[in-house]
Amino acid sequence: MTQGTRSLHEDFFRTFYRLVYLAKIHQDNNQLIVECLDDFMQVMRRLFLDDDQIKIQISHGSIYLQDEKLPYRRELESLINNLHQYFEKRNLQGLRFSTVIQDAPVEEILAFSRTLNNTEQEEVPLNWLVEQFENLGLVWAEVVYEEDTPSTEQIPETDPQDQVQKRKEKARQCYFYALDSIKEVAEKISSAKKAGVRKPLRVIQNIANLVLEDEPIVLGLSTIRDFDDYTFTHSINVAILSICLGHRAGLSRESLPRLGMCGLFHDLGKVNISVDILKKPGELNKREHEEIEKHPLYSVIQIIKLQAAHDLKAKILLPPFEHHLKYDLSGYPKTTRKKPLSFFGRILNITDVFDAITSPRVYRHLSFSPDQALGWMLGRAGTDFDPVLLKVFINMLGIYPIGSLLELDTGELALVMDNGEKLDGTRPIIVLLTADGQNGYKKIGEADLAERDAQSGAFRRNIVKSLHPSTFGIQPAEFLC
Amino acid sequence: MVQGRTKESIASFAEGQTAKELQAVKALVSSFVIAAKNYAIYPENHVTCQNTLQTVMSRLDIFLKNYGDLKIDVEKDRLLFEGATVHQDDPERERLAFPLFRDGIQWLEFQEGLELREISGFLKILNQYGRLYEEAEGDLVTALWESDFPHLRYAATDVLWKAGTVKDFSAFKVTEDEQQATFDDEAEQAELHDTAKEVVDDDQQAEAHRPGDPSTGADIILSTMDRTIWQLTQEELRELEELVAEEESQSRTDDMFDLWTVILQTRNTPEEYETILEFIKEEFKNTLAQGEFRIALDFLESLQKTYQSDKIEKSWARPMLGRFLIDIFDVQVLGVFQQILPTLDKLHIDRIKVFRRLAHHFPPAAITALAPILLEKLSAPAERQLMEIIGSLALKDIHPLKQLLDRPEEALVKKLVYILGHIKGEKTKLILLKMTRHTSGLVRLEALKALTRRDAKMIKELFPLINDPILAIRRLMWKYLEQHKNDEIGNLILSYLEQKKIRRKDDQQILNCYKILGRCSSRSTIPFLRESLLSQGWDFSSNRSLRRQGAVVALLELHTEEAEEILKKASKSLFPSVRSAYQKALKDHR
Repeated sequence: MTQGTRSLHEDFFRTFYRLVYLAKIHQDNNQLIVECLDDFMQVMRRLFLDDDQIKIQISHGSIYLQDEKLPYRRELESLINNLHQYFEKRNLQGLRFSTVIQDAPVEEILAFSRTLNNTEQEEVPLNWLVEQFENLGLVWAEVVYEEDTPSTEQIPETDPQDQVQKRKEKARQCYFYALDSIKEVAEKISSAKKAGVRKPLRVIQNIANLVLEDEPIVLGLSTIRDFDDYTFTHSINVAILSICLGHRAGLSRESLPRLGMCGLFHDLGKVNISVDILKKPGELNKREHEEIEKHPLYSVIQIIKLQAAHDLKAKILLPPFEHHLKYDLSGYPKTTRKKPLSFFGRILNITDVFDAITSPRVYRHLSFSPDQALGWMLGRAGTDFDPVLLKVFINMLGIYPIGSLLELDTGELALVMDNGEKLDGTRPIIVLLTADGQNGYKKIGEADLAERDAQSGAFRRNIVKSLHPSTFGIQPAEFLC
Repeated sequence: MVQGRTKESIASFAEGQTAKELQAVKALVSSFVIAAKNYAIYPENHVTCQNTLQTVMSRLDIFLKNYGDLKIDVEKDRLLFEGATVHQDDPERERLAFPLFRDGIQWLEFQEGLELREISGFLKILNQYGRLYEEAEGDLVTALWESDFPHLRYAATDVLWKAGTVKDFSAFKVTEDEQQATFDDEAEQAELHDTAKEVVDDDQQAEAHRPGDPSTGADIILSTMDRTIWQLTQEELRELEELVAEEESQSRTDDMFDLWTVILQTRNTPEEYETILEFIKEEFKNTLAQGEFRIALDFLESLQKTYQSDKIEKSWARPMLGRFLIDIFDVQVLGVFQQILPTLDKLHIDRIKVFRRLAHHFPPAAITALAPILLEKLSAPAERQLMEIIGSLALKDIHPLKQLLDRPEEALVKKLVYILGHIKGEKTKLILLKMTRHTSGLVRLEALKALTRRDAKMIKELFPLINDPILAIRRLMWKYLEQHKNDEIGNLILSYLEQKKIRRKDDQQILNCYKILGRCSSRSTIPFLRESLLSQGWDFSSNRSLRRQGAVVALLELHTEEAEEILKKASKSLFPSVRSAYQKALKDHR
């Protein structure tokens, strides 16, 4: 495959996925949709110069266009994963477009996109989709079945499940490496030694890679809670959530590590604060309060002292300084500024609070469940939190964020492993848990809450309410990653 | 990873790959080693670097076209291609394989479409991180990640972490007492129901110190809310795009300085304070380099307020801050103006004005850094402001400017003399006088201009310039002497003319000197003028006629009976040369 063809194929998949994605959230007359459709059709026309049909196929973990496998590139990982998930959720092997699409009206192509999106909610998606194509008179689109899949020569050896397992393993490693790195930096600072950022930077870059490859796995990691090393796990969780939120907000790959470093080091200043204050179970007095409120400033000082290039440090100072300043500029440290918080500061502000209020602490033994936390935060949009970024955050985590513990009407206990898109995210995919008889829980299987009883047509399982995993001593990541 | 060449692999290699291919890889790697070495010695744009880079590129191009993507495996001290060693590190020389191995790189793959900038970028990374120092800020892997070369793939192991770092998630303790709840525990559920209230009420710790109405806590659960609340509108999506674009394109220096003001009032140790100040200085420099003079000025003024206020808790901090306020404008910091000032033109008048205000805070020593900027191509407003700034700094202390007058750049010294000319005082007068003896005519002229603007008490000192080889200087001298006609000038001119040391072949020089003599002199010059006009001695010099004409002009200027009598004599002289000179001078004079 030539460089030009490779690039054209990539463009096709990019515009195709963007089109169906935008069709989920926008009306037909939306400017973004109009522009995207235009791009999509342009790519289509270029492809039709050489062929009289365009065929997309997903097979054995690979994506094909015109029977040519889409070559792996790091930057494409996110797109490839998204496309995989998209087709998988619709039980769809592929699609074929004829040249007639070039003359199809805009409304027809958008109807096709919406139909494709809606397929996910159907019991027998393929049949429904074929039927819809007929009903809508979409003569230029047809479904590709299993027998049409590319020759076995092109089938990769790696099983998609293996890939998922590998990514999970990688994610697990990343978390512990991050923990090791942040602990090492903190220890060096505490003992007045110079601390470099080679390890933290490397681990944050790895996390950014994972986010681009498989966001749900990384979000699963952010559910880790450690009572003893709260500050460290909290810092990593904030880094992870920030990278995910930044990515969702549209930040470039290059910006993600900077944001991650801000998250990782935002509480570095806590090394300056006495453990007695940090872990005081009772109420803090005024002096202790004042001291703890200085930790963003101390974080800045500690970052300055890191052994790193001036430019890098300068780029990661402001958000840690701002992370306790609210959207309306109240909060602390007190400043005379009138300009709004930095973009990264606003991200940190959201992710820091979310992780903090969903974590049990020595002075607060119960905490919000993730959906409670989001509801609570939504009530403070525009005052405490940037309302737009908070919406992105909620859309990212879903109604029942990954790691949420659910009580089901069947009496079962379940953890959300993928909030999916089915029925607006109200019916996530779950991991079923049961007591292991040793004061713990074990996984007994996975289930889709969108699954219905074949006879009655009713949902097999329904959510009664969400609970906090820590209340049950459950570490969601143990079952998810 | 391929460990080496086994019998099987050799056989496989013989079957699948040609010896030619291996040779090509070896040649390629060898040119790469040379290029890497050159990058370590010469600047990137040096011809040697560029040549070796081209060699690597052309060899890679050929290889990729002939054989497809090139994957090189990395071992501790060697590089391998398909199991065959294609490079072995020499411990005595710069090593190529080891730094890659050290940072955990397992293999590198150069893919079709590879561009020159990617190879060059990779060589630069190798050069930067070839040797790693303790507590480094990055390594080859982090740099490759950042560079994200589209046609250069690699795989890296987690070499920085010891085995055993990765544990099981169960190692984390979820709660203090490993609390386990049973699902039917009603008390626990009731407690959970109050979670929101507890979070808001009990969160005395800073990280969740978010006051609010407890009643708005857990009752608002996301799943019970209207989903449209968190749907992003088109306007919000655009807003988000703008925020991202802004974040990725701009620095937030102004906010940073807000941060510094707060930080400097925070409790620190002297060492920390020093570190912070050093950091701020660097930031300040970067701000100036970006042309953000307003931000720099605001910060400086707020810093000075802090210094003058009682907000500094520690006694040791005040002198440190005081010293910092002087040091912040060292040569290195001020050097950034060299890049930024030439970019300011009349469209940036406001910024130039802020620069002027900023300059009020410069110490006189700043002249050393600022003056060379005058050699740059500056817009008129920028140059004027810069000159005024240098002048006002020199007013406080003339020494830095004085020292710069020894610089070899004529254009710079000329401008500095111009500035000096606008500074009153005996000191500057003496310096300017010294500059009238400068080897550069332009500098001498500038100094003369400056001095002649001042007063008339330097006639004797300046008089030698009457004989300066530069016409403009002589002209200025004529004008100057004419303006200040007095006996002293008369005597000086007389002496000058008597010595007949007018070496210049300049008719006007002689005529003007006589003219000035006529204006300044008294009766005492009559004998000299008579001699000049009427004498018929053995003087065959080329300017004899001119001297006669000059004498006529001088006598005409004298307006005395005696002078008129001599002129009468000349008009009736038996000698044609005298009469002719008289006629010509008279005609010109009229």
